[in-house]
Amino acid sequence: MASLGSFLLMATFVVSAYAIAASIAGARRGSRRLVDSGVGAFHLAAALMTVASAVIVHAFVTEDYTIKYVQRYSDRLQPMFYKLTSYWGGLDGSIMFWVFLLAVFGSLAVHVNRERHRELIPYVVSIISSVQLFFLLVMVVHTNPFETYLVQAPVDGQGLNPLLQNMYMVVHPPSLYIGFVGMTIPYAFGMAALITGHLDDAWLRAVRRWTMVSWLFLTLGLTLGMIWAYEELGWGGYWAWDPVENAGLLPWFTASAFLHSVIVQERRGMLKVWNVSLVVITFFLTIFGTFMTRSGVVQSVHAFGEDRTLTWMFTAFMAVVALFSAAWIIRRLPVLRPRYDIVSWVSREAAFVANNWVLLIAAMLVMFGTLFPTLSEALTGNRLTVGPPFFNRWMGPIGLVLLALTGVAPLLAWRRSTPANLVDQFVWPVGFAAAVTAAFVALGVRVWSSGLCFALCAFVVATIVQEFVRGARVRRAATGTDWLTATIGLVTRERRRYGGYIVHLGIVLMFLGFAGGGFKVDEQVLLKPGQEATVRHYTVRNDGVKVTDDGQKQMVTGHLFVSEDGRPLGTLRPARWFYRKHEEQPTTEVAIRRTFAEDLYVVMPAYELQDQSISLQIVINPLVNWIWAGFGILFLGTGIALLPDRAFGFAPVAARADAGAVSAQ
Amino acid sequence: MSRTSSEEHRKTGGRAVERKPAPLPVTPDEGGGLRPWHVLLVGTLVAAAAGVFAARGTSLANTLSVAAVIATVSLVAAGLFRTVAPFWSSGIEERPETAGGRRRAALEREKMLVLRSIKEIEFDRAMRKISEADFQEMAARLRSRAASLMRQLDGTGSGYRALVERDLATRVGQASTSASRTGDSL
Repeated sequence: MASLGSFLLMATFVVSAYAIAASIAGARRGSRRLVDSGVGAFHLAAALMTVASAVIVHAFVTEDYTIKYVQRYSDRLQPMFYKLTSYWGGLDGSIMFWVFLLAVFGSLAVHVNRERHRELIPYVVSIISSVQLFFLLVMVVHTNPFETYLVQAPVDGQGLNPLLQNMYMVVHPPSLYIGFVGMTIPYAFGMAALITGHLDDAWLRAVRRWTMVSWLFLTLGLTLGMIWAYEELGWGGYWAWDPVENAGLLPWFTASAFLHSVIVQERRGMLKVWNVSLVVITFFLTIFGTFMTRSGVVQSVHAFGEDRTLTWMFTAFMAVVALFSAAWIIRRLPVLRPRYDIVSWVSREAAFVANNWVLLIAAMLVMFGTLFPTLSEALTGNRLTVGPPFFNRWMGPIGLVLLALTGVAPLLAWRRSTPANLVDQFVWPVGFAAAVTAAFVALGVRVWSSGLCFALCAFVVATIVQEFVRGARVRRAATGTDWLTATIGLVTRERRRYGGYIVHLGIVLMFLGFAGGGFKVDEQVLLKPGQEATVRHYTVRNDGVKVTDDGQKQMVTGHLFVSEDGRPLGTLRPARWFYRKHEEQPTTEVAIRRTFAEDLYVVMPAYELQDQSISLQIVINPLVNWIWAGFGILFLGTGIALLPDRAFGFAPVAARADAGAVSAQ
Repeated sequence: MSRTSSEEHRKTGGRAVERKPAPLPVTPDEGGGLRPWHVLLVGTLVAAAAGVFAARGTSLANTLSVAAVIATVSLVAAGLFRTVAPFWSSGIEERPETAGGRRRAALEREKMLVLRSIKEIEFDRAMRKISEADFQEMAARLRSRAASLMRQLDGTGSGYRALVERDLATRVGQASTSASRTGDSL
């Protein structure tokens, strides 16, 4: 099986090279046969990677420890579910999984666009295949996951890292990888448009949905990463500005910027150079993020370790990508001139430009903070780090500016807004935000950053509500239907705009969750059996420690009786798990009592079995669950924006004959 | 504005409708008979059954994964077929995409975007987001642009009628070729 796997990787390498050659030759000679053959080879590469993936999964299932990768990342006692997901648990497998996802995603994108964007397809195929070729080269010459032991193989495996044996960690990497590899599709279409010179808005239409899907998966990956950190690492928070977390955040910023600026190009024919540059930057950052995680240039709990060969290979690839992309953008600059210029800075396009700049500044700051230790070591010989305080100091205000723009932009008109329009549009949202601010001041809220965030959240919510109400009113007038039908019609006929507003609502909920962090309580206590500790309105009593074993691991569990203002709430069980194969790396199992208002979060860092005493970290995290709920709303909104035009083709339009001029479309 | 475009605009109720580019000639494969994917499907099922038979007596997980590996091999066969088939197929014309076809698709897309922009500013005006003067100026410019695009689309040589007639001629030609080939095989 190992030989078959290695053969499949090499076969995919050869087939990808053929796909590049046939597609480019076909496009240049105008030969449909060559182009179709190149596309066929592209699909063949995806098929070969699928078989290679099936082979490695088979090796994990059948416990084939002759393969080094299988032996390092699984063991006999590991549950079958985690054996399957061990595929992407290590460096070699994660690169292979990356190529597999890219091949499948690319194959799907080429298949969907094969007729509509026929002139771009040969170059799209060659660019995606080139990216595949690089990763296949890495595998073939350096990190082959099918490498076998030369002498007798061990009888059992070393087991997957205990931290990765968590449900969220099972879904987190695939969703993040899909988000990363998905950004290759817009890049390939953008470069194909530059190479062919077909720089009308066609390529934007081809990539908009793919970018949105990738952005959604990237957001899902980041959110799952936060939940995993919150529940598995046991430090009381969900985001520590870890370099690998930041690696996922960088392309998220630029992809978010692109999703907004693309609207400006479609509506006003502006930002053409900017959009194609954003696509290139986003793709570059996905490769850069992969490089950071796998090369060892940054130190992180998530990184795979230092690898100098990989560092050089990635550096060379990134240099090629940067030079190739920049050269084509510069060459096509004359045909990327904007159709219109910004007439007024009080316009929607100006707000989108501001949003783009803020997002880009955020990306640059995060990149600077992440790479600062590496840069300082290279320049001074000393590794200086900038921790969470640096990121929080800068990213807090930037986040608030972005939140404010989320509320402002929808209220502005394209081209320019007059003072009368501004008063009409802003009076209710600003009034509501002022009322909420006054209410919080009256309630005694004195954390200024959280208070400002609450006020801005109120402003954005009022903006969204106003947009729905006024839109529904216009649609009611046009169609003569009731409010509910008009609102549903509004959303279904203008899915992108109103789906976007729902996404904004999700973002608001997430910001509420972040703002809750300003009221966090964190205390450490040591409790002997029967002793109690009170933190705010919660009382925790130590009812003892128990030790159990399930064969794979030994579990030390603290039993805590919890009450709130004297009212019993039940038992919480924080624990420490010692895996047989990784006893030096015990995991922290957090006990959480969740409500929408706050989480009671209890960690047991230490214990004494003899006298049954336990050391506890008790954290109260206000509003934290609003972050996860916010993602749910964001998912819904993105889903609505992604629905195809024909999705609501069945819905009859009860338009009045005399009101045809105005509709939401 | 020409008659064709005006009628089309009226029929869609002024809504912007994305028109797909003109379909390219397709390979005639209608009719009965054994197709490559039939062979592929039967081959996959037989191979998967053989794999399951060979793996009998082992664990369920092993049996299932053997069947899955064999099933994925069928994808390779399909991909291989798609890679080599273009060199044998007689239904593929060795001609590049015409510049006229590309221009037409670009004009169609721009027309659709302009029509959407008109509806958008009408909606913005109804929501009192833009002043009447700005609306009139922007709407006049967009309507003028839409009319110009429609005139270009209806121009001689790239008009709908000419395109439909060309497509029809191509298809009729292919259908007769296909019919004669089917007749030969029978």
